[in-house]
Amino acid sequence: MIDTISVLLALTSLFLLGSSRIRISIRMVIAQGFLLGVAFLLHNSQHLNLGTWTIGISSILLKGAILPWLLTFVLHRSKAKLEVEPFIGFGASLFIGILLLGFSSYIAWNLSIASTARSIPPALFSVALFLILSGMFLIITRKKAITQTIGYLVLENGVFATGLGIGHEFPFIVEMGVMLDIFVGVFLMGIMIFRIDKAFDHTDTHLFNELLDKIDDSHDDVVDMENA
Amino acid sequence: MWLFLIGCIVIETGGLLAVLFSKYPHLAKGIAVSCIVVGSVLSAIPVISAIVGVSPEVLRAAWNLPVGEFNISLDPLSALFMLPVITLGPLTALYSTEYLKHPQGIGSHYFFYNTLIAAMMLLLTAQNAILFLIVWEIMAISSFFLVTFDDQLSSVREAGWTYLIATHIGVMALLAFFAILGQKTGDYNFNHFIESSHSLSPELATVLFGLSVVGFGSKAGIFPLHIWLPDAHPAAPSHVSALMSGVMIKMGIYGLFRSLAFIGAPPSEWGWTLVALGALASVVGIVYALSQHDLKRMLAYSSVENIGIICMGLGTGILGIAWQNSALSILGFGGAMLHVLNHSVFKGLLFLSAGTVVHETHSKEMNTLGGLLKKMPFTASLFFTGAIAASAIPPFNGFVSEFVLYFAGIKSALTHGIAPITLAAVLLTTLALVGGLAVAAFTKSAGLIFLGEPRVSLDVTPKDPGWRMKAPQLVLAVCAIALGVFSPYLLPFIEAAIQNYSPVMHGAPTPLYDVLQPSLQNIIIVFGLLLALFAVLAATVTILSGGRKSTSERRPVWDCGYARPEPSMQYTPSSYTAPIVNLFRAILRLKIVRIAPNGFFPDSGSFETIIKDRTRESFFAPLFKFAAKILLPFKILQHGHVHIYVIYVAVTLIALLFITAGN
Amino acid sequence: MKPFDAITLFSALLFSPLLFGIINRIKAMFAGRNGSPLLQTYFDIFKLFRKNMIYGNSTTLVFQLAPAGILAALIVALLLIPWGPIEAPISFSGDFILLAYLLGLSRFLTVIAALDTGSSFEGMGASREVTFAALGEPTFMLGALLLAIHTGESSLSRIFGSIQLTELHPTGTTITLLVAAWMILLLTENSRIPVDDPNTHLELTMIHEVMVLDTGGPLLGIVTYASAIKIWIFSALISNLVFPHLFEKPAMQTVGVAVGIIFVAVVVGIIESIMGRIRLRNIPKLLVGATALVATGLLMTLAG
Repeated sequence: MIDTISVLLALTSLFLLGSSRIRISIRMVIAQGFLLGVAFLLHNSQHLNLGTWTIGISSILLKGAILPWLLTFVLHRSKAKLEVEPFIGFGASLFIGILLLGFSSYIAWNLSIASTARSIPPALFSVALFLILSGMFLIITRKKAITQTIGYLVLENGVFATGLGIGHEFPFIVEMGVMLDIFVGVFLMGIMIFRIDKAFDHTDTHLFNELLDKIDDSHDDVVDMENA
Repeated sequence: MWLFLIGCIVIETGGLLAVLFSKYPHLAKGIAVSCIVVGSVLSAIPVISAIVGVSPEVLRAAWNLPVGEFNISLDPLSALFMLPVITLGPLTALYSTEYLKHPQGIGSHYFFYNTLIAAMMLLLTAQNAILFLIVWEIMAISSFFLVTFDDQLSSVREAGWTYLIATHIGVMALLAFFAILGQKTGDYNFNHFIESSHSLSPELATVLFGLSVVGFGSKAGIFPLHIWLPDAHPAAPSHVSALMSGVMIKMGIYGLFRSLAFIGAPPSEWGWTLVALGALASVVGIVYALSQHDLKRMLAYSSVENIGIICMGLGTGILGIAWQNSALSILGFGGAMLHVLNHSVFKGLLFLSAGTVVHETHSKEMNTLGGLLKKMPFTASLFFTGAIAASAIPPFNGFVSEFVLYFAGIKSALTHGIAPITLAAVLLTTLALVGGLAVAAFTKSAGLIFLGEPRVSLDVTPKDPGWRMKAPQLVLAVCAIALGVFSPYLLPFIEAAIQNYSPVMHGAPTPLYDVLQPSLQNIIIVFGLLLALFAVLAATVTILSGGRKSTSERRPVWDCGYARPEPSMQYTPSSYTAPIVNLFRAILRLKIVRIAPNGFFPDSGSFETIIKDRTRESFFAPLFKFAAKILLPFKILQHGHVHIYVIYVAVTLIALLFITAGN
Repeated sequence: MKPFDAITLFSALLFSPLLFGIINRIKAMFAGRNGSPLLQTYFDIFKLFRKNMIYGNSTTLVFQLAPAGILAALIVALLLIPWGPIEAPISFSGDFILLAYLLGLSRFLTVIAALDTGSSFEGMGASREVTFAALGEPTFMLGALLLAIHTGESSLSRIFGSIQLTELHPTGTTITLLVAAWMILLLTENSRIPVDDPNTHLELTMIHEVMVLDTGGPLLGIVTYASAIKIWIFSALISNLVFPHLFEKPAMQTVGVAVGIIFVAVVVGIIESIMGRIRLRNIPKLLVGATALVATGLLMTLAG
């Protein structure tokens, strides 16, 4: 079951890489939150107590409801266009996504052979790594602040998924700390986006360059000539 | 063996006589070409006997060079690579007698042509490093002069220079390769290299492997050392392109494969290097091929793709050795060898047919051609044959060799383990993608040149050529079908060629034939059924339409109601491939120049897409600029005063004497 | 040829046009219409065969003979398709490669015939067809590789014979991913919504239909029949993945394949009813996405 959830997690992330709509991206983040919460409960189904239930339910709520709601709120307030603007095209992003997934599986495979205590299911572990990497990829390659925030969330989900496996040994202090960081990050982002919006009318971090220097036309390969 | 040597000598003599008689171009042509034919026939006898397994004869002769020795031998591997030489050699020569019209430079052209063929024959049999390097250099130089046949054109001269530089970068690596080997083993004979191959340290072996990939790869056109190919092939006369693309670039593959045995048991990293290079090369090659609108340049890029596929096969073979999976290694090498043969046949055919188009229309620009099928049905049907074979579509030969590589991938996947499955995934994905893109590339070139209507009206009326241009193409087309249908019977010979020369193949328990035979036989049954069914259905359709001949009519095609459709409104090759070109913009360097029509009464506008080779523009050009910057100060040494040059010589001589005396 | 082979082959040849009927019926149901008869495709084909041939001005023998080649390639491809417990008439190690390339042959001929007319619309359709087909090719091959690794077999008949749908992971997940990916492939290769609209009337948006715009009479009949066989081949592949393995007895498995093929047609009908065409520029993304599905399945099989 956990393996199936890992597959679904990987798919949501791939979908994120390929989707051009911010709303769909947010929905994918919601799905990831739910999946991770369920995976957490399933993984700890042997020792279900008040603590694990609390963490499970609260992570579902936080990841699956509150943060996405915040994002949607920001999206509405900033009046940004509802489309993701990538530096790297969606098809290419997907392709790179497959490569990243392959890389994480390779690492997970090697680590699971190396470690004697196989506490982490390799499928889950590889997907966790993949979430972290694809989160970073999203942050790097998307222009808008809001899509970058989504990237942060995916990255954080990856950290959470990694924490799942080693949950018995390392309680959730680490995880909650990260969570808090991210929460603050999102919160600040939200305010920032709002302010940016007020100041510049859009939330395209790519265009911060305009403050610095006149940026080159990115289509320098296209030469328009005046009709002689 | 003597017969073979006599064959070489006959061919070379033909070349010399052609120079002597260059005052009489027809005579020179006749002598040179008939010498090639006679020489090939003479050497065919030993070649075939070597292939069917008569033990190789060795011919050694003392030689007055310091370390060299005239040592040639014709073993199954040499003989296998010799097959394209002795078939394409005479066929392209025959073709050239009609293709070359201008009498200027005929004598020297045939001198270099015959020299190139003879050099390749000697190269394949050379068993001594020095001899090998000498004939390698002769091959490079003579092909350079063949490429620059039309040397009054600056584009041709430039292509020639690119080729000369690229090939000499390769020679540099080869010199280092053989010098290190000779230094380490103390002898320059190949069998000596093989005997002492195990004594090389792994690091040195890896360095040697790198040198051989660069050295032989620059000749074979392995990406990113392919940059000379797309320039040289369009510049050269078509029979030269056919010979170079069909045969000469395979010499690089031959060298790479042969030299594997000199450097000991390969680790898996070598295999991965070749697989990765090959996968990259095949995708990049076919994407560039797609985007070209010069017919011959497109074929040249398709050669880059096919060399990539061959490289993947070699890499798979090496991985098989490294993983001690003899079935995998024999499938990988076998697929590569089979593809070498197949590619020579269909690429030779395609270049000859393309040459016919160029010969008749004086244009290589696909965007202006069209509708040639009606004018030259013979050429068109042969080009289609080549195009189907090159797209690896059944029932022609291209499919069979790619099938062997696919099969290697599946066999690899079934052994389990992450590395073999990765290999399988890379092989299958790449071959599938490349296969799909090849269909796009060849429907573009074949479909848009020969079908539809001419896009621009030509000043000349193209027609099918005479028999001397037709016959070679026909022979190659027959070979393309035969190699497909009779491939199972070829396998044992290919296997013999591989088995003797790859270092770890000793006592391989799974013969290629046994692994592949059931599948190939079924494939041939399917081919048969396919052709039979097609014949039946085609006959039915013909009868259906013929029976109502009176009622079947011709009408203009659907034009969406536009009143004055013109041929120039047809889809052009550039627009045909635009979707794919856009998808692969990361690989291609696409430049768009457009002049938009403007104003209330717009008069004219234009739109042009220029696709440049990214490797050349972004890698080699800066590199060479940098090299020029560093090396330019040394130009001071070159000033044209002979007496000062002699001072250099004298100073060097004295310095050397001092050093020698000091020791 | 064994008797069962003949039965499966002939039922494929006989019933394949029925699939279009089913799809259209489902679409009609969703639209609240009665819809055309289930056998409409048969009627169409017969009608077309009675018509006269009209050729475009610039067409040649290529245009005339290509449909025969297309049909021949697809009928021969049918010989490679197993039917649940009944092995394919021709089955050998690596047969799915030949299958992919036979489909490639039919595509090559379709494209060539389209280019032979010299019509810019047909050129446009051909251009799109080759683009999307090239991107779909890896999906099929990787999917077949995934199955081969999963079952340890290398011919379609034996692969489908040894799938065991007993556990959720990895078999269940893998098969689900593969079905999804091959379903996208089916929609692309057979020019259905959301990739292409078979009923559209705007030449600029068509892919497959525009390539046969100038094909008429018996030739169009052959092409229509060939496309019915093509969708049958894909449906049979998808059906073989799942349906025979839901039953125990071979007889039931055989019936299961037929049910599965009809089920696939129904699903296609539903998809066509509830979805719109996606933009042309997004189709490559969809196809890369299908490859991503298969790749995920492959990696999860390895990791799990």
